[in-house]
Order: sequence, then structure tokens, then C-alpha cells
Amino acid sequence: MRDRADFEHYVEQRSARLLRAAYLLCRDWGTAEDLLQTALAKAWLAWRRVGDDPDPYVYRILVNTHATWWRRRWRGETPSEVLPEVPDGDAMDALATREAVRQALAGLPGRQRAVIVLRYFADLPDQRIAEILGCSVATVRSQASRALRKLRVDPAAVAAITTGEPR
Amino acid sequence: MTITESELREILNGDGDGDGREGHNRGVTVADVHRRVRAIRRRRWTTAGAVAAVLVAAVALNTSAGGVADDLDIWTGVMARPSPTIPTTSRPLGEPHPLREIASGNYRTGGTREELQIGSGNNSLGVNVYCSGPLRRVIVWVGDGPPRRQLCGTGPDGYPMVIRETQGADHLTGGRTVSAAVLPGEIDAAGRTGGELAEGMAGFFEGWEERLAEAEPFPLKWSVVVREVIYPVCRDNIRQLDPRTGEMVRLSCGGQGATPPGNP
Repeated sequence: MRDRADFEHYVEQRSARLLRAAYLLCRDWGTAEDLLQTALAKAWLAWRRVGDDPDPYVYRILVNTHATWWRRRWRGETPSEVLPEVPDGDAMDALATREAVRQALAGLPGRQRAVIVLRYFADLPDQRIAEILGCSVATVRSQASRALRKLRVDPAAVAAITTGEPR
Repeated sequence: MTITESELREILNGDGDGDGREGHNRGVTVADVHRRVRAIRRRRWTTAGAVAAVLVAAVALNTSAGGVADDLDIWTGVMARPSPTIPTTSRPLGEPHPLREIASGNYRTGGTREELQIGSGNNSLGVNVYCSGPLRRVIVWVGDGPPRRQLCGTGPDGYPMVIRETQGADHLTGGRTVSAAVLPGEIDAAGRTGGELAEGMAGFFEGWEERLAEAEPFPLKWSVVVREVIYPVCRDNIRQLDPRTGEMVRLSCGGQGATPPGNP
């Protein structure tokens, strides 16, 4: 039987990792904390029904809550005093590549970003991701494949996903 | 230029390290989460209350209008219908409203009956009892009313259960006193719902008088707060939804006029 001590232990052990996942979903630390607190609060309200591994349940709440917020909140441009630098071909070093990947990740549709975060950050198998997102494994793979193309991941890896080969 | 899957993992795992935000590696605290839980619960209760209010309003409108024609048949609309029979009640429904605090006591031992003398006044009384630590049995006496058996302490959901008792002024003529006693022994609330605890009340309190009489004082922080309360005012022909049955009832004050029961 899951109890309060069990939940508090889970929060203490896992919240840093979950907060990072929340940040990857929303790209803002303040919103990420808000999102995670809400997700954990919802998880506590159903804690007795959560199975042995609470992670997938909490990830599901995170993803669904974020999707709800994303739909509700205005998503306008963020004003900035500094114009972003556009790297030219010669200056495209490893750092610039990473920054480009981060920007590409931020620009992914919510569903694709969730697949990438759950697959490559939470290290969940496609079957679990499908359960969390409420879709088929094939959909998870096609979403991952599209997202990886936008993130400029090695085409061989993208092809492997599409054919369903194990990672 | 492309990256590999393992580089993507590295980027995701290291992302945000250099954004200048301090403290995010600690995650969120349990206290923050429980604050959010309370906010969610408050919101849910508010929503439930609003839905109930809308239902009451809808039922009241429907009832007072004698119902709405089911179809466009004009003959149905003009035919007289018998008025629905609504049960009547002589007491207004609803929770008493707390007024000022008039007495309180903080105690450090259980197992003894503690009494508070309340000053003069004519209003009804509301009593809250707070207990620290695990769930325990408490007996509360308000005025000349019968002993009330209640539980206080940390409930099955990890939140404190607070005893809330009220007593109409008609039971206070013999003396405005409030007393309470915490019985020795704890109740294991783990894995039990509030309903299961309510069902087990008779068993929990079996032989409580002997237990209290034989009890040795034991260390326990608990407190009693007494407030004056006022009951909802009775007004003739007002319709209310009975929260116990969900049925619409009509108030008939029987000459009490606008005087709330138990209040001058």
C-alpha cells in the first residue's frame, strides 16, 4: 500500500529529474516548477492507485497538463533586447550545433517534443511512451522519426526508428 | 551537420545547465507539492459547490414554474398540472456560521476531562478540537448536550482531522460549559478511508466511559477552541435542497418567523 511517506520519498528522490523533464517540455524554469508541482499534487491525489513504478504515471500527468496549459496560454513572441546570432557555416562548431538542436527542440510541436523527452531523456521504451501519450507504438515511432529529422539527428538512426529496430 | 542519438541524450541531460538559473537541480519540495494539493482540493470543492448551486437554481426554477412543456404541443402547454408535493421542514438547512471566538484551551496531557467555562450569552456554540500526532478518540460535551464521540489527529490522507461540534442554545440553559477528553490509545488509520473509519466508530468507542475513568494522564498536545455560531435564518416558503437526501424541501417555520433555531 502506497502511503504519504512513500510519496514524500518519491518526491525527494525524483523531483530534480522530473523538473528537468518538465523544463524540456516547456523551456522555462518557472513554468517547469509550476508544472511539476501540479503534476505531483495530482499524483498524490491518486497515489493509492499508482502502481509500483510511479514514473510513467507522473510523466503522463506532466505531458497532459503541459498540453492543456499550452492550449490555454497565449504563446506570443518573447521580447528580447539582443538579437540572436546567426552562425555562418565556418563558425558552426559543436557548441553551435547544440544550440541549434535546443532551438529546434523548442520549435517542435508539443507531441513530438514529448516523444523526444520521454524517449531520450526519460529513457522509456516506445510501448510505455505509447501508453503515456494514449497512442499506438507506430505513432510514437513516426513522431520520433519526424522530430529527429528536424533535430538533424543521424539519418541512419532515424531510419532505424522507422523500421522499428531496437535502440 | 548532424548529431547522433547519444549526443541528443547528452544535450537533453545537460540542457539548462548554463542558463543561469540556480537551484533547479533540487527539484521541488514536498511542502510545495502539498500546498498545491490543498489549492487543487479547494478549487474542486469550489467547482462542486458552484455545480450544486446551479443544480439547485435549475431545480428551483423548474419546480416553481411547474415544469416546462415537453414538446411543442400547445394543448400540453395550457393544460393545468397538479402542483408537485414538496416535503416541508421546520429547520433551515445549512451549516451554522461561526462568529467570534469566546474561549480556548491548550493542553499537554490526554486522558483527563478538561472543562472551559464560557461567559454569558445567548448564542449557540461551535467547538473545534485539534490533536497532534496520530488519530485518537475524543469525547466532547457542549452544555447539557449528550457526549459526542469523534476522532481527531492525523487522518488517513495524512491531513489533520479536526472535530467540529455545534450545540443549539436550547441545550445551554443548564450552563455554558464545554469539556473534552482524549482517550488513551491510538487508532491505526493507515489504509482506511474516511467512510471505513466512520463505520468503525461504535467499535472504537466501546467501553469509553471505563477507559476514561481508568485513564492515566499521558503526554499529548491538543487544544479546544469555542466560538459563538449562528444558524441559518428560517423563512417561510423558502425552498432548499436537502444535502442529506438531495431532495427539494420547503421551509415552514411554524411561527418562528425569522428567528434561527437556538438563537434569540
